[in-house]
Amino acid sequence: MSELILDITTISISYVLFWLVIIILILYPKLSKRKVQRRLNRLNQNK
Amino acid sequence: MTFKLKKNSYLLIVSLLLLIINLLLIFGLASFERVVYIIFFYHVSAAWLSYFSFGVSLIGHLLYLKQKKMNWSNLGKNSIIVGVFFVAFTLITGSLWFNSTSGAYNNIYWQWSDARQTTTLILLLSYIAYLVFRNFIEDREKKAKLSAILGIVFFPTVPLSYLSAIIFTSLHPLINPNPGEPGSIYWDSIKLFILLFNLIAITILFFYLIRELKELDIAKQKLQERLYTKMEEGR
Repeated sequence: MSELILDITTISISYVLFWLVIIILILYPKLSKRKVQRRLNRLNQNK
Repeated sequence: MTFKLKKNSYLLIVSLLLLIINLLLIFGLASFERVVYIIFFYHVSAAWLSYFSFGVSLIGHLLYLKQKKMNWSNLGKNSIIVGVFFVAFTLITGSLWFNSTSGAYNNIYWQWSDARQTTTLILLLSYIAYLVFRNFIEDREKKAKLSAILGIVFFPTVPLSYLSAIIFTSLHPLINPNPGEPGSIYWDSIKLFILLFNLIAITILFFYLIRELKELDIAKQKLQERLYTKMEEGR
């Protein structure tokens, strides 16, 4: 394969990975908070 | 219908917008010998953010030991979570860069003799160990105290990782605004501006993430207190 194609592949992988890291870091607190909130609501309902 | 955004959401929107504008700037303004050089914008930004995160975590841990406030301990832990993700990204992109340039696409991703690569791996493993260790301790006070000590003990891996390319033998190139320096990559002011733009965007994202993780800690604390009172009622 030509160097240009390999370069483009490398930069594409890096860029996707960059956004993957950002998306994981954005979603992790949001989803965990929702899970905690659900547990809290369940506890309050079972009073 | 009214749509109200949380204060913190503005930070996220601004940082994401800046990151998108940055991509346009890279393709619109910067010129490179090889396309793969674009990796540097993301590699350097992620490295900067990870060093910054670990620096914030050090401040958090020191303040916890001084004031014994749980908020500082949580700040230390949350900064490390962000830092670990970005330092892992830095290592991966560094390896990809190594394979594309020094390895000439011969599947050579790692060189143990390279000081920057090896010390950064030590840095990553140290902070992963911190997170695992912190997770194992049940008692809140004990957890905060011991992890603060560990956070401080591990911090020297950060300057070690940064300085390794300067002090020891390393294939890692350094970005230089002056042309013609051996072992350095020359970047003109446009590229440096785009890099700075990316650094600002990603630093704003850091503050957003820290605030979100803080809210998660508050929710977890509420849940723990609720579980405790329920246990007391059951007795």
